[in-house]
Amino acid sequence: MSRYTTTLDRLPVAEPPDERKRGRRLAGMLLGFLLATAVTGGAAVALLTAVAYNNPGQTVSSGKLSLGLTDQGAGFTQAVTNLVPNDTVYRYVDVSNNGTADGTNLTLQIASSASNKLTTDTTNGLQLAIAACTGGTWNTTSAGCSGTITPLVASTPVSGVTGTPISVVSGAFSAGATAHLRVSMSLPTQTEVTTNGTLPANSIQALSTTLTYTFTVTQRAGVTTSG
Amino acid sequence: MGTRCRRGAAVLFAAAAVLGISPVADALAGLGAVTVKSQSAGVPKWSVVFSDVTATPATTGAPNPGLDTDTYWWISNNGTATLDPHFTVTITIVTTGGASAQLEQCSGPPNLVQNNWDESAGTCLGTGTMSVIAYANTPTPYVLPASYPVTAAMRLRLHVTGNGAGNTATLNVTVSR
Repeated sequence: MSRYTTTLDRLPVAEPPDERKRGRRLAGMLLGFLLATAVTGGAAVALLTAVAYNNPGQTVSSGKLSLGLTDQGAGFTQAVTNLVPNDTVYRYVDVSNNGTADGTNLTLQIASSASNKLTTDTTNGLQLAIAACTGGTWNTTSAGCSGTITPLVASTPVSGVTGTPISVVSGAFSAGATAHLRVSMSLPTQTEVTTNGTLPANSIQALSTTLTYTFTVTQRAGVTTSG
Repeated sequence: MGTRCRRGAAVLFAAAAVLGISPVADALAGLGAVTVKSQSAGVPKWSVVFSDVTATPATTGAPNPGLDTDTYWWISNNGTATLDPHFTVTITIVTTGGASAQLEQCSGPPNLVQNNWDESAGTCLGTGTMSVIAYANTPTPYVLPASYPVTAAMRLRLHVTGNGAGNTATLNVTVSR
């Protein structure tokens, strides 16, 4: 035996050069696979993609709920002065849903600048009533209606409207709708005696206030629409 | 685990409440629209008084003249309401000592402040005619002109008809509606 044989016997068993290259190649492929897997999140790499979209795009818009309040002839801008018992004064206003969304339940609440007998006394204080002219308009001179007079609010003390809103139109108040309202303000029958220029106690006389009318409408109930 | 969830929910609701967020209210909320206008309203004062001068709105009281001689008085609308026949004006003369007296007026064209008397002669001016509008101790309705505006005044004479010396009369007027 030659010494080479001996040497070979002592050296660790080594792979031949070709096999070493093949091992490196395999390791490289494995590393590449692992990297590709990491990049694609473990999913199979897709090579084809398809997309669909609508053209033109779909229009989506929201409705607008808005109220307008305008005087018609003598309206809220005109003061109601010198009321005495048994007086009734009419004022005419239009309340309009000038938005694009349908509303429902038109209500009214009144705020008073002063807290006095006019707006706190249920019996002897100011009384409010509201009627609508349906299918026509009011003649503000004669208080006549070219359509049909529809009572909306029966005579009620203003004191009862200052704390809680009252319903004016309980149903739909659609977009574009206008309520032609006649608002009656009256001072009920009562007797007071002024003696030698001295007013009686707790008098209804010589009182004044500024009333702020707030009309409110809420949106119609939400609906689910198909088709 | 269930207890921990409930505690967590309670904390969330409490935090929402502190922030002013109501989950229930938010679920019910929708669109609302409001419109507002203001209007002034007022009630006048209806008042009539006797005075020795044309009354001002602050004038009050019941004159208490002596009845030794005739005296002249204004009856005035010192309120802030135009008076008309819907109002009832009542005059009462209360005398002492059994004295007799009456209130008289001279008719004439209605003016805002009207004195149709010749006070020195004790007669009506021009073609005016005298009429009694109230007797002592007898409440008497005073018929107002169709419109008796604010500050309108009529001159009246308290005329003594008997037992006036040393006695007095109290003039009262009420206006009611």
